[in-house]
Amino acid sequence: MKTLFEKIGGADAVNTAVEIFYRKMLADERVNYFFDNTDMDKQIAKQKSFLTMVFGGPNNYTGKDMREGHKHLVARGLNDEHVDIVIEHLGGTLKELGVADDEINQVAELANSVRDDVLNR
Amino acid sequence: MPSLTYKGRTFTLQDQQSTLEGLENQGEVIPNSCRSGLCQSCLMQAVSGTPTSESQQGLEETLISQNYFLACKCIPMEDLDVTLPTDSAVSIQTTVLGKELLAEDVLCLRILHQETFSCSAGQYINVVKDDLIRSYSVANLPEVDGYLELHIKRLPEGRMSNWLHDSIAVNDHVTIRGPAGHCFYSAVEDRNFPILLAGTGTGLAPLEGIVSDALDKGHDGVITLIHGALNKSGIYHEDKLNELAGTHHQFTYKQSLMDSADPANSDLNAVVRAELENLDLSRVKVYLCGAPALVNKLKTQVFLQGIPSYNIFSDPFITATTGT
Repeated sequence: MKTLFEKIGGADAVNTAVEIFYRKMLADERVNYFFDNTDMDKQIAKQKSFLTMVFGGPNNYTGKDMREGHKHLVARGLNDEHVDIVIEHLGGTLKELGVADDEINQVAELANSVRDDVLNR
Repeated sequence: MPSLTYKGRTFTLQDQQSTLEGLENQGEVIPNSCRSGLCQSCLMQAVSGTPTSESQQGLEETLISQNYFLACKCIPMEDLDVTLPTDSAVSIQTTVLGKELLAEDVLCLRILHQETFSCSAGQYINVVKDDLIRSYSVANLPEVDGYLELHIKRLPEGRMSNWLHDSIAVNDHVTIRGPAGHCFYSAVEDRNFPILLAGTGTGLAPLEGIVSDALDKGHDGVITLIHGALNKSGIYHEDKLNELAGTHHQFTYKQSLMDSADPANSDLNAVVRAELENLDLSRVKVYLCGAPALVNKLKTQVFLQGIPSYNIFSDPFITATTGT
């Protein structure tokens, strides 16, 4: 069975998705302050690996990296609500790209599975 | 934890400690400046063991193949035996051709271009003085002019900038390394896309270089350069750029002065936003250079305005974080 990553068009589609997804995040005042001092290019690279992972593409995701990478944000108050917002924008992004609802739900499930790593619990 | 060997001494790194921090903890002096993987002044070489790929980002292929890496970005995965590069391996020596003051605190330094040192206008090079290494952008076309032009802002406590302003003289030798950076003119299919360039202070240097390069290569899309400063005293090369605008119909030069009475002009962010409104957002390439906080903010702003991230090029001028 094809992964969603293959279905939506592989790496090129991820590049397009990140552009949409990151714009949604940066425009959302509930989460955009977390990005105040981040370098956009590095952030985009990180989001590409994240999206590749939740689309079921080839990735080298490790829970340890996810924990390390978000520790400083958890200290700044990153919590479940923010993870919900990420999943919401991920869904919105996929909808714009014409992905079907049940596949969006699968992605949301995968994204949800790293919640505890992200929140360092 | 992996161990690190330097000058024949071996010690163990702490969890998540970079090679640079580890060596500094041991009392070693390692040249460094931005400590964020950009300036390349903490370049080192692993004589045994393999450095992480993250610590080799932005390095030239020839350096990567010889296990060179950036100490500030290297949290080793395995034991490493490391050394500082010898000047002859990674640097070249060249000569100061000219010095000229562009503004009260900005020096124009011209150094002889050598054919073995291939760099694009807008990239940066490192100037080396003993254990001090600092990055400066190339403001001209070295191959056309025969020299590299650097704009050096004097920082109050800046050891390098004060040395370049006050001490180095014409005909003196100077050691340089590099180049590095991805902020330069490139055109693949056509040369008629719009270009918008914005920067503050000596962020003008790479932008001027990019404009010269684009015009030299026959770019015929609209090119707009905005130089931002606190007030008029921060502006330099005004005559030169006005002249360039006079001889090239596609090129426009503007200033944004924070002390301007006109609010439409005093806010660089607003000036950039307004300029972009008249351009084709799907094709324009945007170049941003200057103070990191400003560059980051502008980058986010133009991205949100609809510019794809791959058409945004930037070069934040990160000044040394310790012991400038």
